Amino acid sequence: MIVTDRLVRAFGDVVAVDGVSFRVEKGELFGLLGPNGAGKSTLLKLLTGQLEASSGACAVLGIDPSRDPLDVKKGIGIVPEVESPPSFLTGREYLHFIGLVRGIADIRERTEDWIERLDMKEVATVPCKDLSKGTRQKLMIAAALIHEPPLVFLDEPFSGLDPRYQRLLKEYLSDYLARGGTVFMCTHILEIAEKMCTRIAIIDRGRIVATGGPASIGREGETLDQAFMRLTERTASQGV
Amino acid sequence: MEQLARHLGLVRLMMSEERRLNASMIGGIQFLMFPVIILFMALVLSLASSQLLRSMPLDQAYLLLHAVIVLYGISVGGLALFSDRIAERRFGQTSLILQTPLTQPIDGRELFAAFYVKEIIYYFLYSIVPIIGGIALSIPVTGFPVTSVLFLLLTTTLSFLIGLSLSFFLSSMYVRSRALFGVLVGVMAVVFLTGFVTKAYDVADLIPSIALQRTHEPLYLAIALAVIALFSFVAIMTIQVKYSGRASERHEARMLETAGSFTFARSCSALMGKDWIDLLRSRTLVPVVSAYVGPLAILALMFWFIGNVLTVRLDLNMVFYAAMIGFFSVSIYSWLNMLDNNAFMEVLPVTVAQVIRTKLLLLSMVAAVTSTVFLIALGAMMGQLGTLPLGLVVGYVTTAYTVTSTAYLTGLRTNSYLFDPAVLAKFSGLSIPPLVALVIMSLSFWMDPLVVSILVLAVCGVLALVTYLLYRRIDARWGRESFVYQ
Repeated sequence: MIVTDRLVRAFGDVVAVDGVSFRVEKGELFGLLGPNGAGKSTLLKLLTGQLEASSGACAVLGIDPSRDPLDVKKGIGIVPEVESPPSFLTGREYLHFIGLVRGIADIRERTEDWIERLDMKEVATVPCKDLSKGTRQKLMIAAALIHEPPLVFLDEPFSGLDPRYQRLLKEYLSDYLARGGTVFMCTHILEIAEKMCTRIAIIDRGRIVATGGPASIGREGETLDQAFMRLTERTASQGV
Repeated sequence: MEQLARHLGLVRLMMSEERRLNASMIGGIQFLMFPVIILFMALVLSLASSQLLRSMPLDQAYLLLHAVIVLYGISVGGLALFSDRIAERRFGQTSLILQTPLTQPIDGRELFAAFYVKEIIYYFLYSIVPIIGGIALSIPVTGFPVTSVLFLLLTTTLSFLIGLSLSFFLSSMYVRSRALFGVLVGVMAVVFLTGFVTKAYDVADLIPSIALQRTHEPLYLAIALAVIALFSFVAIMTIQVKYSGRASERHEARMLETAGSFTFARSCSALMGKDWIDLLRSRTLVPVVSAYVGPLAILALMFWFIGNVLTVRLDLNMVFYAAMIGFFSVSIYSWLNMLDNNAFMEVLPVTVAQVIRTKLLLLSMVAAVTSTVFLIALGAMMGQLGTLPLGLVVGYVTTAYTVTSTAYLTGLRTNSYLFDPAVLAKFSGLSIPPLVALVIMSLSFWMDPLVVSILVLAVCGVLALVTYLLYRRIDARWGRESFVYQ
């Protein structure tokens, strides 16, 4: 589903993604972990056609996102880092808008289904600018999944969600994976990564420093938390 | 003292913020180039002053310069009308100092006062200083006395501040009470009209900075400063800044139906439906139309002022106003770009070029209705309905041409990119020559209406062709652009 080969993205002198190579297979929940500013969101933007690569190669669903970003976006769903649905549309209207943009025939039914699922009936008539952060995040999740894409990219999807909806999202993702879906997820929450991800990569200063299963990514007897701290220690202390 | 230091600290931080924000959007060098271009233009005009002053006495030239600067101040001073939008202004994911009262113990009014001072300094350095600087640079050639130029700096600054503070004051009153606003504007109109009709006093002297320029009387300096201080103080004390926290409105779902009524826009119908809902719910439709017709009304007022107060004979007709209305349509496009933050579209299969086309279509609808009504009304008032068809053609074509070239050059960031000297130069190159050609033709219209009409239509034909070509190039120019400020 995703293949990258020595992918690089530089902003002037700063190399945000530095020669990253990995693969994500169908049915995987691939977690990307890393400290603040490590390059997680930049990598996700490169994979989803939001940014062009400086060099290297990349294919998502067999399409090069740098060359055909629109085709990539048609085939995937994305929950961005910052929840910013359109200000003046209501939640229901936003999902209808997504339906029109993506050409979903039964958008009314799907919208009501997601409103019900995420318990948003009370706020479905309120303009998005007046919604709480958590509700906006729920809307962004619904907007990314409403067309049931084969591959979704989630950037901190649990941010702003209360425990009930975190649980609901986890259940949905498990079900989605069981139905053959693939997930690429950036997260800071190691506990979620440990429990949910089939495979993990840790990125530090733009480079992948470790990949593997949640239990095998560290040294013998090391927890994911300990492995993460060890692998990113220098950057963290420099950052503070 | 401590409070003053804190206030100045806030102003300094806001100045840095404004500079960095602009520099991040258009580049630091381009940001600094804008005043350089104004300075250069003022220098060129000053060097040509001996020629210009042959057809207009110095006193009238001063009057015209001050009148324009007062109007400029008025145009940038309506802060209170947009205080909520300014307070919640965001650029992509960038938050501004004005949003601090949301999280820190600082009064929104105090912060807005700092913002007002910042605006004054910013516009003074960015506009007034370069204009007078250009005149000053011409001194070795023109021989203007240094003291006169310094005095002009003082009076133009006062003119700008009078316009700015008056506009700020009136907009504050408007937000508080429409009735009080009406009374204030009515009183001002009566005072101006009485002076004009009865000739009991010179209307121009009602603006103390102009009176100061004419008489050099220190009393007018004191009056000007008092007026500016009074307007500013009342405006700051009465401004209502609302941050988030208002009661939410509720709306039944209209997206699918609204998009359905724009099916002629085909692939853009969803985007058009969204923009139309934005326009209505943000209550921006009236300001958008006003921003279109308003400058034209000001222009008509200015020509009335020049023709009747300065008694300079001008023979304006429908073609002239139609050309102007087309060129003022840039403001609608600019407004449409400020409706909402488009960052959410970054993750959807939508391109910036599609959104630009949508805004052009929506603008065509608003402009077609507004310009038709305006030109019919103007034609009836001027007794020139016979030239209405030609006026409408000119209005539609210049609107399409100006807006398409603006969209091609600036994409969805019109306000930012028009401060980029390179873009501004291209925009000027595209818009000024046809505008000048149409104005010259309109002024000579009555010499031979048939020949001039043919020439005007020929110019319109060329503009329509260029419009088509630029429209076709929008995809190539903006297809890969991001919705987010990177």
